[in-house]
Amino acid sequence: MMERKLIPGTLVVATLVAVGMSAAEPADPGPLLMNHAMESLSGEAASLMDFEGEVLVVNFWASWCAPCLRELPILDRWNENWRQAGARVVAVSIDQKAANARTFVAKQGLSLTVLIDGPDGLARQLDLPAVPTTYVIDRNGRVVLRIEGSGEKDLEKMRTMVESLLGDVGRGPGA
Amino acid sequence: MMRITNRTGRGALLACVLAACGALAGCATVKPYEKEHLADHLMTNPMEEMAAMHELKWLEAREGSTGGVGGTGGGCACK
Repeated sequence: MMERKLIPGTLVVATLVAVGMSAAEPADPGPLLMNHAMESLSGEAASLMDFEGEVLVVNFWASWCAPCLRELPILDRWNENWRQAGARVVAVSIDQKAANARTFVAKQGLSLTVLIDGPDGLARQLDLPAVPTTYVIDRNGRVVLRIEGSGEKDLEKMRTMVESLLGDVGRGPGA
Repeated sequence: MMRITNRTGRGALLACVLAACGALAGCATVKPYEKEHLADHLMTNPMEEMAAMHELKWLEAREGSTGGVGGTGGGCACK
């Protein structure tokens, strides 16, 4: 009789442990994104804190992800348009081999900021729901938008959000 | 006799727990950011490509339309 009660209990506990062990995205991933140590394309230490005070579009991509490769040239063009206004696109590569990311960037002649992080860095800590995933971070380091995938409507939503954040210049934090 | 039953029960419970642990451990989901190796060209099934080639061959033979989809030949299906 005792065993009969124990079996479902054991199964419930084991399930809870398994679920609890899986990675979960923090409520506000802003500080994690901003402070995480990564590498630049040239191998120097870098983090998003280097761009503190700018509106950031942080795009997680990989050279093996076809939609990412279609999206990056678009983001590169937008980055050029936004740079003067104080916004920047940072493409974070989650490739296992950084050389693949470097080759793609060189081949495409991309001018946006590319950082190397690998699949076990922020991607795992944030438990990215899709590749590509893009975060829009305001000037105060808060995540204001997360986009999964690279659909046209999503990209448009991202562009609108960035331009509205750029329009908020001078209103101060929390505006 | 009672003691034997208890031992059997405990053994069954232990087996259940081990089976549950094993089953849970086996339910590993591949996360989107872990699919680098799955996205590799080597992971594509070459048999699908061969099957498509064979299908085209018999289709062209049946329809007498060799070259109709962009290949070369005289329509005799003897390429």
